Amino acid sequence: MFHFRGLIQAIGVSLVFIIFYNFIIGVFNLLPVEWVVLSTFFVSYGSVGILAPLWNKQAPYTAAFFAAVVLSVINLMFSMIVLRIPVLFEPNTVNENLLSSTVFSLITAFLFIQINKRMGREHDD
Amino acid sequence: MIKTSFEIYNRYLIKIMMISVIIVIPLTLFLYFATIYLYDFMEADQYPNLYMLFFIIINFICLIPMYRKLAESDLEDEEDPTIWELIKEFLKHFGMVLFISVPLFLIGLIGMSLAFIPTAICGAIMLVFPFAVHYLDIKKMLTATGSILKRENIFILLDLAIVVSAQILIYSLIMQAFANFENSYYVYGITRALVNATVFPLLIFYLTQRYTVELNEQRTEAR
Repeated sequence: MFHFRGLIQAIGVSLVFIIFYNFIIGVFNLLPVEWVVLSTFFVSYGSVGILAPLWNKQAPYTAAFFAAVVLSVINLMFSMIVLRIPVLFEPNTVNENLLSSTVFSLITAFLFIQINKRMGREHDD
Repeated sequence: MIKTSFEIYNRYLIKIMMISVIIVIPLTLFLYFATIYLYDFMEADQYPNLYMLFFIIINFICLIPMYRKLAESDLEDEEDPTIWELIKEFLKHFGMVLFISVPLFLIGLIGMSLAFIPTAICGAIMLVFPFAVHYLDIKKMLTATGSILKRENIFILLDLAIVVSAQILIYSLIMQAFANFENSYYVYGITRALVNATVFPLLIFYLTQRYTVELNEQRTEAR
């Protein structure tokens, strides 16, 4: 059964991670801009791919997929409303964004579940 | 109630200081710098004031589940939660708090034209629901929120006034000390972070005693 609360928990924790990571990188000026964008992509969707199966034991892949979709939609809405970039005028970019984010989070979810099975962990929160 | 909340504050002083160094002060500084950033690059028709209001509300609401757990474990004689458990409590409930408070804030904004009645109701719900957010079932969470609202009905607005006015009073009192210096953004941000770290636990302990513990007592009496 799909737990809605676990999905929201995973999204919230990954939002906290993104905020924290970007705040540290932006304050100390650690990386050039391209690497900031790329590493933020990896941190956000990787953390979603790990955390959504953790709180959704019975439907892990569905949870990872929906969490990635919701996060990328939040990104699009933010860039449309706050930054005023007309994102939806270019459907190809939106398509690439959705595809890459879901594929990356599904791959991390797959790897995480396989590693968890190998290590034989059952109960952890 | 105020005496008990001071006692809890005194008993867990080191834990509260650790939590405020780890979570409360960085969160407040981040939100404060975010408001300055938004003021810088937003135009006037995007209303950066509303973003600032939402950030201030979120700054208080996000911390409620963490301190509520600390207060309730003290009041019900349970085992003391460790610092890692409290941080986990904050991280777990952050998404739920954000997910419920954003639509309530939007409803409050849109309803401002209706003589501020939806705004007051949404403010009351936004103050109350983080005390019930720890229930795993969403339906149970909403019923707990509704029962608190029914029990306390109009006095929640008084609590809201207490929360707001205590913050403004202490902030203005502390800013008197810095009034004669050349101030920058950083001074205001750090002052606000320190005030939040000291005042929020007291307010949340007081509100926890008002809302959750009485509810549990009523339930046990009804049984």
